[in-house]
Amino acid sequence: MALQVFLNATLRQHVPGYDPYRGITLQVPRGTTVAQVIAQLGLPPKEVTLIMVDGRRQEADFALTGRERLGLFPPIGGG
Amino acid sequence: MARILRLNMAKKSFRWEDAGPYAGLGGRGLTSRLIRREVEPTCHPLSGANKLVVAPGLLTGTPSASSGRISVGGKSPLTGTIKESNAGGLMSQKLARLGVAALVVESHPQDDAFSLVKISRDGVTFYPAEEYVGLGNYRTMARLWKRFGRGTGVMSIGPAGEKRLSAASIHFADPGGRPGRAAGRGGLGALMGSKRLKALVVDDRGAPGSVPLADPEKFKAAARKWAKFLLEHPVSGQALPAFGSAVLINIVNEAGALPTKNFRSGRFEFAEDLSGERLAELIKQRGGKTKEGCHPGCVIQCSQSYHDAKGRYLTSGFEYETIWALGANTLIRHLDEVAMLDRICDDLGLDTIEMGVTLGVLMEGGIIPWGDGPAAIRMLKKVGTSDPWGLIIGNGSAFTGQALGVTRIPAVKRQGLPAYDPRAEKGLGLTYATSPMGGNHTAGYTVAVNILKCAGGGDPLKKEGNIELSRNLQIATAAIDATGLCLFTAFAILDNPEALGCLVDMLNARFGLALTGDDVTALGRQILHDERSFNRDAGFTKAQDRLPAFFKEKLKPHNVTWDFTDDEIDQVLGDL
Repeated sequence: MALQVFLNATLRQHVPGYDPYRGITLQVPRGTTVAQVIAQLGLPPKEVTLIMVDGRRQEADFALTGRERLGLFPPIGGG
Repeated sequence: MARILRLNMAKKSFRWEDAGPYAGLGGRGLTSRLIRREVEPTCHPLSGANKLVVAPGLLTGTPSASSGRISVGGKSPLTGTIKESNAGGLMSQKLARLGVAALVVESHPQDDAFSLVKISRDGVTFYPAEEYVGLGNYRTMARLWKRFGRGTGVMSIGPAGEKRLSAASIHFADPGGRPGRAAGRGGLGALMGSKRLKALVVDDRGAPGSVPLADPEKFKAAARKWAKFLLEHPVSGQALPAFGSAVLINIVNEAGALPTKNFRSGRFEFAEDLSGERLAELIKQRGGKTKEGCHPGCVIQCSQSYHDAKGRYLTSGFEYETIWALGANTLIRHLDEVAMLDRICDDLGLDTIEMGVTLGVLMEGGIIPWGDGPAAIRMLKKVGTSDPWGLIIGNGSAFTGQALGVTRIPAVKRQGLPAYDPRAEKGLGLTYATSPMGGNHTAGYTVAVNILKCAGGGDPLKKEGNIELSRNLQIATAAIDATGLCLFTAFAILDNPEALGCLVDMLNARFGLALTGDDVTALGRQILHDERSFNRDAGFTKAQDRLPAFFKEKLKPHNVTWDFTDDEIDQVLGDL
């Protein structure tokens, strides 16, 4: 299994051709942090304020196994 | 000094009164106090003893940004509890500028004849409303604008309210004259129908541009800062205007809290089809508008005009809760079908959350298939007719479940639950259980902290910290609902301590007071006390502050259950 990354809201504009239905599949070594994934994808780190790893909120220094579902979001709200 | 305007629907007469015991109150603070004092808690909600109260907030009619919300109160025909339902639209600011602190609709006529009431500087006029009876809100509002002028404030009910169905909503004309703004929850449209009041129009021509300000200079300075706080916050300044409240679909789905198939799972595999991102893309492709204010002076602009595939206007005020209820909850994945269901709700005058939950119950009962949009549209349209199905559906989720022998009914105090599964957003589960409004999300929106990371963040999957969080947010929300400010200002307030100070400065400069943040908290507590004591006298006990038993089942993907004990639930608002 690989890392499955989903980008949301304004973050999508940083990855041309992003397909929201499939997300982005990445092979990353165990121990890769979310911050490294953000850098690898060329996203502005300051814009990524909500990080969801397998449905739980984590911080950018969270170390991945490389087999998770990763959701990245800018600040959002509503209700 | 703003006054109370009372309409007697039996005598077709009106009376102005000094604010008296209600002086200094506004919005939800005023509606709930008036109902507490004047409405017998055990009365039948559709009887002449109940009152419909409409009140602008304490800051409504001032130049403060996003302060034009309106509170509508009464004893709820749906829940039997006290109710405050909050809406946008044009009317609130107009009432405030005409010096109306609250409009109280009392009694009901002996016959079935509906009335139309006009309020302006020249006075109050009752007109017969036969020509509008049976019309949906779209045509009612269009005709009233033609008759009384574009830009007139309108509040109306559709056929659901006329039939006194307990999921009926009250609609307010938005700046485009469309009924996209609703006091949706709690069946207050049925209460208005029981008064035989089809519509109310408010014309503020000739009224001052602002309500009186005790210290105009101080107010101006505070209001300028306030607008800046809202615009600089990334949620109210960027995300909401760009994507609308439906920007939440993807994150709530990601968090595993998006109730899917009548609260069976926390993720919907087609969430992207219903997302704010998809919505904004379709609006741009089809020539709609991605951002619109629900009232003049709103800087957040989270509303929109959604067009169909042929580029024709279909609906507005197309909110996250609506899209979830009519979409993921029913497995309907086509946004155009969901938009059509929303339009029908707005036109017939039905609460979109309640209808989404009700359609889920219909599917649960096998009446229509899961995910079948055309079948859902067909069933919903029956509400405007005398078809018994329409009468069942229009009375909401609990009634429909009872009619069908369905036990899986996601409701608290007979009000269908909104767009967050309480097992994966435990703080909100406590709000659902304990809010004096019945199953309601805005009353104590823990999602802002637990999922959206405001105020440093919390954990939606654990019990720890959530009793206090639900309680504190219920108190703060009651106070904000008294000001006429949009609840979406809370994102800035939660993240920026200066914003609360600024809000207090505006209140002080408006009324010449010296309130502190503690007084705002005290106001929130007082409102909840009024509401909970009303409910107690209406016969509610802590036994009703509970979620349906099926929430003990595990919810995917986190395999979480609703695990608060009764004692823990009772701690949330136990002392109020």
